[in-house]
Amino acid sequence: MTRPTKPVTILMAEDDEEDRLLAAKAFRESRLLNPLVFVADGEELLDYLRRRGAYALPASAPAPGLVLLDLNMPRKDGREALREIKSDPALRRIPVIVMTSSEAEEDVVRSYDLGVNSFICKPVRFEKLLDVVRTLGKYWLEIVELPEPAG
Amino acid sequence: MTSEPTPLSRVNRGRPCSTPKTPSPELAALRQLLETTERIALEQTLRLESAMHELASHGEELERSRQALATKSGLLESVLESMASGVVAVDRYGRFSLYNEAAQHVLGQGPLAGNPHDWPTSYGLYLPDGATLFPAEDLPLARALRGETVDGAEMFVWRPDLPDGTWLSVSARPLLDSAGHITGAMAIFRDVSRQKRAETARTEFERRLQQSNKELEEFAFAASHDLQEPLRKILAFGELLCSEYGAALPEQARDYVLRMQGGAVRMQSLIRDLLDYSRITSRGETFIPVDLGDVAREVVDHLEMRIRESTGSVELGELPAVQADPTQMFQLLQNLVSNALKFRKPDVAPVVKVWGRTLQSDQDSDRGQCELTVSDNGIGFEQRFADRIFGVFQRLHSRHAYEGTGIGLAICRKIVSRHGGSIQALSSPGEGTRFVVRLPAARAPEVP
Repeated sequence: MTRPTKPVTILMAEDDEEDRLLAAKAFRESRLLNPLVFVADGEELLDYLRRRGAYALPASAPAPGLVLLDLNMPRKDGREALREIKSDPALRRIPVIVMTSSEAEEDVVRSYDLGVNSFICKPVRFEKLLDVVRTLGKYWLEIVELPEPAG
Repeated sequence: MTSEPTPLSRVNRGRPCSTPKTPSPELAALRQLLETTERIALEQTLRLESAMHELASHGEELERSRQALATKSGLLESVLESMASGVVAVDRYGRFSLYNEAAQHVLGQGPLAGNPHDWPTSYGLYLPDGATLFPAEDLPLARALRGETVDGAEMFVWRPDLPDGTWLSVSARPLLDSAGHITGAMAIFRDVSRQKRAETARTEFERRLQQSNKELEEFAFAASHDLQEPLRKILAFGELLCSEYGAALPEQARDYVLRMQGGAVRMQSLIRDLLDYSRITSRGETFIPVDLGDVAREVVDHLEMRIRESTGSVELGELPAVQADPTQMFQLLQNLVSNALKFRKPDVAPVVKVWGRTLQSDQDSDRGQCELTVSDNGIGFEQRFADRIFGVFQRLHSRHAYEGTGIGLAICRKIVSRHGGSIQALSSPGEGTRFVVRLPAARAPEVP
């Protein structure tokens, strides 16, 4: 098993400032030292992944090893972004984890149909969020073998 | 004709007779000839008389027939003219042979004439879309001229002199002679504008109602979804406040924060319940045959812990198959059974019975219907609350006595009404409760 020498960058698409704050805090408190980068909506997420616009310079957008995706976002929501990522041969192998407050059955089904790698309902309690982040970190960053990030 | 003697017989009778002893043979022959002639003449006269008689009576009959005919055709004419429906008849070349006032009114003033091919343009005849000219060869009269029978064909008439247009329902028949050859055709048309406009208005109203319902449901769904977000923040940051600064807060301040948290949690379950409620119609699935027995067994499995904790039992009887959304049938039975377990008497083990049957009565209202009953031996309630308990967030007890938001039975009623059924509660305090649900029976699967 070979680990990338650099820690995997985690890219989180989340429009809600408080949720970003809570996520960052949960990452810190679960001692996940991976770089955590935020984008605010689906448009920005795809710009980042495709290195367009504000993310044209490679240094400004280190290739992520894992994408955390909110579903309800302005401009381009998570469902559309997920469809684009999973139908783009250059992007589809990046694991995408939906983290959303939606518990709607159709969102779960549709996300898996579109090729999402995991679907997680945002926990309400911070304690639970910590649990989720720790488990995510353990599973995706320690147990699972990830493809080498492109670029 | 009179029976006056003929001149010949008068001559004969008036002649004085000489009395010769022996009549000469010539004279005798003459007399005989005369007599014969006289007899023939008499006979002819009589025949003529009777012929004239006959002729006269024929003439009278003819006159009576003529009068009857005139009366009849006058009657027919006034019937035609007083008819609200338009009537037109054409000969086999499509030339108008008859039309009444109502037809004239719809087809415009001036004598009706012209080539059948020009009728759509000259009379402004359109297809029911109100925009396409009626193809001349498809006109009911044209079809009837080809021997077809047309009933209730719809047509829209619009001309500058009929600015609002007129909707017609047209029927046409070929006219046949005694040998069965087509000699022409007739059409009768009724002005159905009133019905048509009422129908259009009703369809439009229904469409709007449906759209507004759908919008309302979407709204409830979206609103309750978005309402959850800020609540999650209140809960999350309240929790952080407690866990990180709780020690620094005075006792009273901690109590306030906990009460805020409690309120937010309750609000969250209310919103979640509203979401569930709005999903019944906005996210419902199609109806398929569902065996309520299977569903009931699943529900019992699912509630196993609750049943065991209650030390009670759920008894399943015969259960029919219904035509329903399977997920919602699970929701319905689960709500009814868990309700029955919840509102138990504190000192009596709850016994819940679930059974049903397909109604066999001949009454129309029962045909194809199933009845499902869920009964318990719980605390019951006053019958006057039997409607109220199905309202959204309606409760008969305090939150502290029995948990829950009061959405369960509202969800049951909404599910049942989405299936075109009904739900009824029968109870009295201390006597247990019986919920009786009517649902459509399962239909036999369609043979393709």
